[in-house]
Amino acid sequence: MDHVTPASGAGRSPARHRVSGGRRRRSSVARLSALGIGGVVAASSLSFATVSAQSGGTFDPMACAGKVVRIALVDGERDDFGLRDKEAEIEAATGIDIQLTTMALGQLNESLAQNLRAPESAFDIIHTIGFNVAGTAGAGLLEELTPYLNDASKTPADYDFADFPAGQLEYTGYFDVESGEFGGDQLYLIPGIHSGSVLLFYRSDLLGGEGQPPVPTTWAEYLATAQQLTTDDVAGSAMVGANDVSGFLVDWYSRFITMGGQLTTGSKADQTLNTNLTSPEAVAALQNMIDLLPSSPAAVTSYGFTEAMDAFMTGRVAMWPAWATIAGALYGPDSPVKDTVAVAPMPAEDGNPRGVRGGWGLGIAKNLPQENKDCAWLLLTQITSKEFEKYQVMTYQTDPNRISTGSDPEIVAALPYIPAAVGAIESAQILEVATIPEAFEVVGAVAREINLALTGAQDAETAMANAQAAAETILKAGGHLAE
Amino acid sequence: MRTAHPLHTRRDILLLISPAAAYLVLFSVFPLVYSLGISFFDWSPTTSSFTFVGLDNYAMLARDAVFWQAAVNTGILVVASIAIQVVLGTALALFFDLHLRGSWFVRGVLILPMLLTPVVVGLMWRALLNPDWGMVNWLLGELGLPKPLWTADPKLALVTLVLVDSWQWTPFIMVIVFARLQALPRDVFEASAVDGAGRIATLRQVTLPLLAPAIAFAAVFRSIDAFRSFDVVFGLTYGGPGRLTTTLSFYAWETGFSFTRYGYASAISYVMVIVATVAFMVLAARLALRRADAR
Repeated sequence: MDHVTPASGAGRSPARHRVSGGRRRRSSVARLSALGIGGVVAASSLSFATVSAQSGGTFDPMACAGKVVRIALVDGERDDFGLRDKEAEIEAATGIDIQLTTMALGQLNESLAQNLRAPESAFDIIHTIGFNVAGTAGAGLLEELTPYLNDASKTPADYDFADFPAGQLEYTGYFDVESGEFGGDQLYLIPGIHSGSVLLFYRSDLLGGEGQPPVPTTWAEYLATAQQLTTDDVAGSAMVGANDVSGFLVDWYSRFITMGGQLTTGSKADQTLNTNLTSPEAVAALQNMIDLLPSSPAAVTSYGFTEAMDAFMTGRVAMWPAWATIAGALYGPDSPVKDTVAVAPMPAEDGNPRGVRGGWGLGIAKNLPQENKDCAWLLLTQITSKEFEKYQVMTYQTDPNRISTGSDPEIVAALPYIPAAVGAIESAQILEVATIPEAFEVVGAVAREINLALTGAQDAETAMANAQAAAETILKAGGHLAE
Repeated sequence: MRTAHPLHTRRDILLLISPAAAYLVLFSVFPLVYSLGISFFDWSPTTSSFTFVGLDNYAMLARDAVFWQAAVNTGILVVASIAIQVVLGTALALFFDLHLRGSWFVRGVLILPMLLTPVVVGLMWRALLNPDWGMVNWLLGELGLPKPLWTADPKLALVTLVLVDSWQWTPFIMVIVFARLQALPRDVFEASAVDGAGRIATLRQVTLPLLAPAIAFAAVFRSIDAFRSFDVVFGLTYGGPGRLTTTLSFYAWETGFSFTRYGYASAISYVMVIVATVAFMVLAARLALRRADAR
């Protein structure tokens, strides 16, 4: 891939990749489209229904032939892999020259913050994590997509928008700019390229079968089952016990919300937003984690996501609540546990299994000429189509975005965990503090106190009191809570 | 008749020093002044805020418990690691001054750690100290010894950080002291031998006083370096457990680049600059680093 210099904008010089084969091929695509044969090439080589099915409407897949569309995607989450594979086909089908830039999460957020506020963004399509939706869509920096979606000349007739889970659309789709809250009826993002939530992974040879303990459905049962399964060779449970945000998001928050906990009360609008980290549910959620320590690997307090996965993959752990995104690796052909791994919904004390909602959205920068926005939308419909999602999920096992993915026989046969993953995504809950820019800071501060409690340096009550104090300091500094 | 050297004209001199001066202004002076400026602002790109707040960021530091914990952690790291490194480094230098057979090879191997990037050292030791499959705990297990949670135990994490830092930088002290040892005048030692001084007396009364300026230089240099420790913390402990190994540099980085509070992060950094500058000046004065004192 060629490195190209950003044409404009205030990007912080990330590694910028041209996905296409360079100027020669771009010229070829333009020439083909000019001759009217681009669509023929596309129809013969692609399964993209968005292109091949456009015979009756006024939608023209080649409307942007010869144009450049610049995409900024996150790096390290395999979201760019499918696009890199399919780039030639999409370019042939649309005549668009795709320029892809990938950046690490922090760099991406920083780059977006600057680009979206520049006179003109250097990126047409931007990728934003749910935690940053308030900072992008909420700040009025993204183009509203509803008019594009409702315009038959701009959207492929078979673009199945209703196939996106409502909860995912509420998180990485709609945003109410006025109130600064998720949801509403203004669409700024299309969920993609992957969503995410949490699942309970377990050893099917140790539980759930004949004569074995049943798969736990509440956190009390989870604790009892973990104690029952613990032997010298196998720990009943694993968690992210290290100083890591996943310890908060996956382990603590899943317990907290299904024990009846509500993370925040009040409103940032009137500076009364505050966390409820000293509530009985908050303390009980942490206590459940502390009670599990004797049934966990001895070194669990130094376990980040990678270490916990190592322990589970080497058969040293019976149950592990984790991000659904790891399922692909656990079920993969090289996985030592591929024949003994199974998934279930997260346990829930209130009978309603759910975990934190994760995932990303794709939007269009507002500070662009209209032509760029139209072409960005055209490309957006291609990379969020059912066909693209199927390829991406099947090939790279990323978390699905569409309901239909969970019932596609071919996908389910290849990836048996997918229905559970889609179920988890449909029932997931948005982290209440995700609407404030300091969300990561609050999560990090609480995660540190959880980690210290797990090491034995403080009890659950003290840890949550310290977490509350830290969160209040952050909320006050951000102007969300009056002094 | 004396003719002017072509380089003696004012214009030539200015021309020759201008690249270096431009480099300094662009990459040292400007960032320093710029970051000092933004330390007086509440600046966060995620909230589009850029508000002049005067000394508020510095006032907030005084009330910030994490800042004070990071300051204490940094202090412990500097004092403990420099003490270990000075003692061990000097001892190693004296040992190698015996010029035993093959010592050149051992000396070369010992220098290797300081050639590594600190973040690599952090990650490497994180793997070596992994409680499940790390080599250190495996060895301890084979010897029938307990296997500590090196980076997860609140009582051990900062000690581990000090030990890893010492592993990497003791060779630096050794190299400086060893070089000075080679340059010491031999007649002084001959004179002390003639006077009947034993090995210990020679070490205490002759060798160490003569080495003092070199040891002081190495200690001050390393202190400044340890004071701004970031990479090894990032790779080894990520500031945890809790905040128990968070250093000032790590906190400044996290505040600036994870939470995008640039103004506050700059204030943390400036406090560090001031502390380091004052400490260096005091140490330089007390430890006789000035040329006149070193003679």
